[in-house]
Amino acid sequence: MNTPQPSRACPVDLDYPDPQPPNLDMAAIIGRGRRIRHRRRLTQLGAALAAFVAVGSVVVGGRGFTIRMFPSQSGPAAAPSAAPIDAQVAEDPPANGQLTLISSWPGHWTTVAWVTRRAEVCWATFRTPSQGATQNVECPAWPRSDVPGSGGIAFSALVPDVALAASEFGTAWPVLGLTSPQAVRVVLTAFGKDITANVVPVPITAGKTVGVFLAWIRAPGHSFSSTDVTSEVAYDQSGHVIAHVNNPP
Amino acid sequence: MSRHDELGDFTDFVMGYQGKMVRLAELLTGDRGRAEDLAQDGFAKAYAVWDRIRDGDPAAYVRRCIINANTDWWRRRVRYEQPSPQVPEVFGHVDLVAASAARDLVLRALAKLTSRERAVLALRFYLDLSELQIARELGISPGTVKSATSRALTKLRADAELRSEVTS
Repeated sequence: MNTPQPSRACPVDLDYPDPQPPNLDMAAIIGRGRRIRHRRRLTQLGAALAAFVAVGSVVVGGRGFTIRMFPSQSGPAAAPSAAPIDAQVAEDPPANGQLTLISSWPGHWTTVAWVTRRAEVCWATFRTPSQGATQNVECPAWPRSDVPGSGGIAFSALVPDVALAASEFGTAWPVLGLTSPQAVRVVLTAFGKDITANVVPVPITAGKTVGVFLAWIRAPGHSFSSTDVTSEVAYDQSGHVIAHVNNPP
Repeated sequence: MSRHDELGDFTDFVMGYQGKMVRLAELLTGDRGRAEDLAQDGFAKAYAVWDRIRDGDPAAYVRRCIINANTDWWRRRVRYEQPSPQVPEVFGHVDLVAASAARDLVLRALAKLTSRERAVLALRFYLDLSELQIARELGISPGTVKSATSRALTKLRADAELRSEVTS
């Protein structure tokens, strides 16, 4: 076989020969591009109207705004401040100065989320140094436009990200998602099984939160993709369905 | 400019850059299908603003779309993936088995890096961008680019599988 040759200082050749040519669908590209244009025109019109209405609330919301950079970790949802991701978090710090613990399962793994000053949601997952430190940080993972407001009752980003493809659990894949802050749990369906995840409220500002969940999905093979999740349902405190998305296989 | 000219220009642009953009996305994601999704989506966004970017650096625009979309690929895949009626042609001059093996080895090695490290390596060593350009593309400081590159190279050099391949 062709052994990858060093490319300058890189030990692998990223310019390896392509075993298959790209197979992009030009008609789909053009069609989608036109739809984006059309939607953008509508959005611009809507934004102009919304900005006109929202001026008053922005002025009120701006008063008394403070930023604390990891000074206190109050509440059960606070993550340890000495996380190995601190340096990367510092580049996009949480608006309220806190990381929110999303999950500490499985053992030695910690997953946190936070909302930046630009109202983007970020997450990080890391393993303790004693177990061989490793980490994965996505910031921003979701842009502001994908973050549901406190009054929203629908998924915004559905099931948007997969991390740690090489999991020590063989075929278990972590899936992070955003949902309405009114949701307390989310049920995902994959490979014919339901997986339940608790929704953790992550502070945005001024008492508002967004719901973040983490589910571990066990795949029968060694690959996993979005199409494997066929349904997502969010429930509120009373057990009522407040959002339901089907992704037909 | 007529719509016909616009389409022709854009089609030429896609044909000229699709290989590079799909490869960039493949290096970022480690998955060919997802890479084509991201590249296709990036080109679609470029077409949406073609009037504005065509005289500038449209390739940089698509590149940025791919990098930004990499963390939020899920919905696009569900909504926009469509089977293509075209059967891919085969490169006659490429040893397919060797090429696949080389690609798999590289992608397996990159999968052990963080997403930021993969992005930095792809931009630096595949697209030959400077540290400053990479910092701008990723919205991070040049110092972070440098440290991420260093960490990534250290990991790759320590990769036992890569070392055994190079030795053999």
